[in-house]
Amino acid sequence: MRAGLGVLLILGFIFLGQWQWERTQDVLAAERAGLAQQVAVDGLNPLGQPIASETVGRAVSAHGTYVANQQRFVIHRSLNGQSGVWVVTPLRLSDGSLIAVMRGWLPSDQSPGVNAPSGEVDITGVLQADESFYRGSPPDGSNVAAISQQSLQLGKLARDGYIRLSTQTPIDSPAPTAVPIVAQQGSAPFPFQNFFYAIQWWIFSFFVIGVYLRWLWLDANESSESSPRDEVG
Amino acid sequence: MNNISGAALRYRIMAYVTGVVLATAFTWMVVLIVAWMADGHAFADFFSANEQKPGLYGALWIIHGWAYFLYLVVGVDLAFRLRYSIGRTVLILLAGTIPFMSFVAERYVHKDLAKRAQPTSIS
Repeated sequence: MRAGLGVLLILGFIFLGQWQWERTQDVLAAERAGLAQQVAVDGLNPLGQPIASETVGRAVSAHGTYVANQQRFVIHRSLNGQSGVWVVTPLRLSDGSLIAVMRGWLPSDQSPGVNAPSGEVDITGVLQADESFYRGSPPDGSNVAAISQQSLQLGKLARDGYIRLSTQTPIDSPAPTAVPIVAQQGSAPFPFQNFFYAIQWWIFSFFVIGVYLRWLWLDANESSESSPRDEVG
Repeated sequence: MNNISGAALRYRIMAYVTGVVLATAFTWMVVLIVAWMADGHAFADFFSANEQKPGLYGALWIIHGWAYFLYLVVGVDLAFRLRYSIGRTVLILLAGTIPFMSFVAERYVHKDLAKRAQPTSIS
């Protein structure tokens, strides 16, 4: 009967551990799916706040108008071995705030495709944090060394970070070449609680074996001795 | 199988640690659920919205998990020493998972020990 109860407990604990392990996977998958979902940049990246690390790499959408006279060129950026520039144009959102949009690569700041469309556009892209290198290097006219709030100088209405453009409606023709960037990806919080519960259930099943063995050992000792009374204190 | 007082002390410590952690986590959970539902969310969604809960809150449940494991170890040890039946042992062990019950179990064990101590203290 004791052995049966032990086996039952062990099987139950293994099953419960399995359940928590699957929950760990499910929670992680749900969180990752949530992160993959496209969201409006307004809600994700509030004005006047530094970009939150878990939002970096998120797919974002935005609606607004490009501000052509605040366009910047990030110099010394090569693509496929060819030197050129990145075109960064701020997009004015409906609330008047700005978000920098890295529209792509061009061989020079005179190349066709440099001018952004003048009307309202809908864009999608990937939210990126400021490039932290070359921080503080003085901008030279519209030429900058890196995409950062210090070098872009877009003013107080600029949101932190920038969008790496993926799609745009209406499209530019010709358009800057999309730049493949190794995106930083904010990671989903790991569900430690379920993970540890899974491990604990499995440890409990070993614990049952330990308790059962101890029981047998005590029984064997007790039957050989004449069952001494417990002392208290 | 002597030195019951040592085992009882270990059990008492773990009963209090497990109980306090569980009571705190549970009370906090109730507060969070009330706030969650006051925001117009569904009750069932509370348990999947992990990213919106404080980090310390999740940590408390993890701490309770490990504290409860130690509670099991010292609880079984004490139950063996006191020759408790399976049913009584299981009840005492389960008390560590129900909010505020580990205090009750600890009181019960403490009273039981006091009762057992009486005959020996007279002699």
